[in-house]
Amino acid sequence: MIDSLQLKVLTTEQVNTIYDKCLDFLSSKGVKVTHPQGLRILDKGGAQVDFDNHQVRFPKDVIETALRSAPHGFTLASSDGRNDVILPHPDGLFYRETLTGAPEYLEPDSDTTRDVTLADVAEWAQLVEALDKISFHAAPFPTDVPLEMADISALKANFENTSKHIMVQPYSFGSLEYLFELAQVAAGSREALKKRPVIDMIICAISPFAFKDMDIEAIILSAHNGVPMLLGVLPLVGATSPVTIAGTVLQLGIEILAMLVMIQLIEPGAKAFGCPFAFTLDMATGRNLQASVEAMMIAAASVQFIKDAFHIPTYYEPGTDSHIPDGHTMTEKSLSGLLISRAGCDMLGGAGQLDVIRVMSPVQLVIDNALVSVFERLNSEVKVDDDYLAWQDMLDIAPGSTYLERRHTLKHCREALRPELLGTLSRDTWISGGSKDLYTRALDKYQELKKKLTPLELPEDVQKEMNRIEKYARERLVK
Amino acid sequence: MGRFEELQESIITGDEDKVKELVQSLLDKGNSPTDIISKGLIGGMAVVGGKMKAGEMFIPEVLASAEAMAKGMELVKPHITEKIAYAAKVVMGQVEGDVHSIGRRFVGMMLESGGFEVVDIGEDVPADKFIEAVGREQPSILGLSALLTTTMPCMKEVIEALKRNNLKDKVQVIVGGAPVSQGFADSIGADGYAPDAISAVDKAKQLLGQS
Repeated sequence: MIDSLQLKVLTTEQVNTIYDKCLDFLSSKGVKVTHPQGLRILDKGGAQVDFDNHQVRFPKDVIETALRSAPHGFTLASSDGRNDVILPHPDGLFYRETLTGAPEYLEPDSDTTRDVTLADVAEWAQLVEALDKISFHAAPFPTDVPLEMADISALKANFENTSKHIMVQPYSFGSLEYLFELAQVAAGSREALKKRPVIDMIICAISPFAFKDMDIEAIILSAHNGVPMLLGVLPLVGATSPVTIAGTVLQLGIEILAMLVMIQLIEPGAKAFGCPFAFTLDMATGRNLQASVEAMMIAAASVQFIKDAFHIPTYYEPGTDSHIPDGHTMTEKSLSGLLISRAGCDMLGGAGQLDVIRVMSPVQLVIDNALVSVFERLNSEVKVDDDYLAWQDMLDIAPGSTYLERRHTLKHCREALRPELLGTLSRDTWISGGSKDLYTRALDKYQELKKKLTPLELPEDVQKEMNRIEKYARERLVK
Repeated sequence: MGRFEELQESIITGDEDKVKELVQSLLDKGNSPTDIISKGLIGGMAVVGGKMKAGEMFIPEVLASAEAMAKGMELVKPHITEKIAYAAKVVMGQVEGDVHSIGRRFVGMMLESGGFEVVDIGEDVPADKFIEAVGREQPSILGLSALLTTTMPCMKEVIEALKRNNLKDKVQVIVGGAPVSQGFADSIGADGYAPDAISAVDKAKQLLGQS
C-alpha cells in the first residue's frame, strides 16, 4: 500500500490504546493452550505458563522482542517461480486469492448448488492457473473423499493442477505430517521448501482466547519447516467476541499477537501474516454475516491496526452474504474489496465465494478476477506533474475547442482502465449482442476458459511420490 | 394485571429478579407449581418465541428471557409433586470434533421454553456416546449440531450408528448448524433440518405431530 493512500479508520492514539490493551491482556490474563510440547516450549521461551490450568501469559518484554523478530516481509513461492507472492507488494498493491473451504458448488448455468467433489477441486485449481489476476489459491472442501483425507487429497489435487502458491487449511491432527510431506515433494526437498515455501498453513484461534492442539502442532511443524503461517482469528461478533466494533478489533489484535509471539518463541524469525476475519451475528435471525457493514468496518480497522502496530502482512476475504451472484453480491464485494484494499490489506482472498463462504462459484471467480484491476486502479496514485497536469496543453488550447486531437491525448489515451466484463457498449450494441448481463458475460468467459483447462504435467517421480503419500495416508488414517 | 400475566411480562422483559419475586409470591399463595410453569413461565416464553419469529425481539433479549425463565424454574421444581407433562424429551449434542456450543444451547433453551424436556450431552460427542444417551434417555428427538464443514460428516456417522443399533426407528433426528442445509440433511437420512432455534421448536413439534 502506498502510505499516502492508506485509509486510516483509527487515529494514531486509538492504535496506541488498542496496542497497550493487547499487551496488558496478554501479560495479565493470557490465553489457553493445552498442547503439552507447546507449553514446554513457551515456558522455556520466557512465557509464564500455568501448566495445571493451561493458561499462558506473555510478559511485555517477551512480546516486544517477538515483534522485533517477526519478519515484515517474505515470499509465498509458486512452484515454477512465475507467480511468487512477494510481501509486501513491490508496487504497494495487493494480491488476490480464492476462497477457503466451501463445501457447496453453484452450477454455472443455474442457481442450484450441490456438494463439492474432488473433480471440482481439480478444475478450480486449473481455473486459478488460467486467471491472470488470481495470484494464489486455497482448496475448497471435497465431500466425496473420506473425511480424514479431505485436506490431503485436496492439496494433492492442487499441486497437480496449479503452479500457484497454495494456502493449506488442515482439518485434523493426523493429516498434518502428510500435508508437509506433499509440500516437500512439490518443492523438491525439505530444504527447498524452507527456501521457497510453496504452501502456507492456516492457523486458527478458538475465540475467545484459546488454541486447540492441532493448531499448536501446525505452528510447530510450520515454523520448523520454514512454512509461513496465516494467523486466523474468526470470531462471531456478539457471540465469541464483544458486540462492539472496538471490542472485536481489540480481541482480534490480542489473539493474532498471541499467535505471533508463540511462533517467535518456537522459532525466532518464522514468517506469519495476520488474518482478522470477524463475522457478525445478526441479532434478529442468528445468521452469520461476512459482509455486514460492521464486519467491513472491523476488517478495515483491524488491517490498519495490525500493519501499524505489528508490522506484518495482512490477509482478509472480502465476500458476500448473498446466495447467488447478483447485485447484492456485487455491492458487498465491491464495497468490502475497495475498503479493505484501501486499508492496506496485502492479500484479498475469497475470490469465487458466495453465501458466507458456503458456496463456490466458478463464474463468480471469473467476475472477481475482473474486479481486481478495478481495485488496483482505485488504489493507485494520481500522478501530478506538468505532463499529467496537461499544463502546456491548457495554455495552448483555444477556448471552446477540444483536446481530442492533441498529442497529449494521443500519448495518454490508452491509460484509462477498460475493465474486462464491465460494459463500454452502447445500448444498441448491447441489445444486438444479446442483452447479456454481467453474469452471462462472465459465464461466456468461463465456458471459453473451460475448453482450454488442463492439469499440470508433473515430473513422473514427483507424481509417483505424491500418489504414494496419498495412498499411505489413506491406509493409516481412514477407519 | 393478574400475577400470572405479571410473571409473563417479567419473562418477556428478561427481569430475573422480578421473575423470582413473582414465582415465590405465587408459591407462597398456594398456586400449583404446574400452573406457575405453564401459565406464567412457559406462557411468557411462548410470547417471546412469537416476537422473535416476527423479528421484534433479538437473540440476546430472548436469551435474557430464557435465563429468567430458568431461574423461575429453579424455584418451582422442588415443589413439583406430580410429573411434569413435557411435550417430549430431546437429547442434543455437538458432534465429534466440534467444540462450539452457543447455537445449540440457544436451541435447547427454546425447546425448554416450548415445553420440551432437554438433555444436553455437550460438545465433541462421538457417535457411540450419542447411542448410549439415546438408549439411556429414550428421547423422542435427537438433535445434532455442527458448526464446521469438517464435522458435518459426523452427523451421518451418528445416523448410521443408530441404524446399526436398531434405534433409528425409535427416535427422530433433527440436524442444524451454520454449514448444514436441507439438502445435506436429506442426504444423510435425517428426519428434519432446522435453520434456527425457533424453527427447531416448530420442526420438533411437526415431527411429533404436535403442530
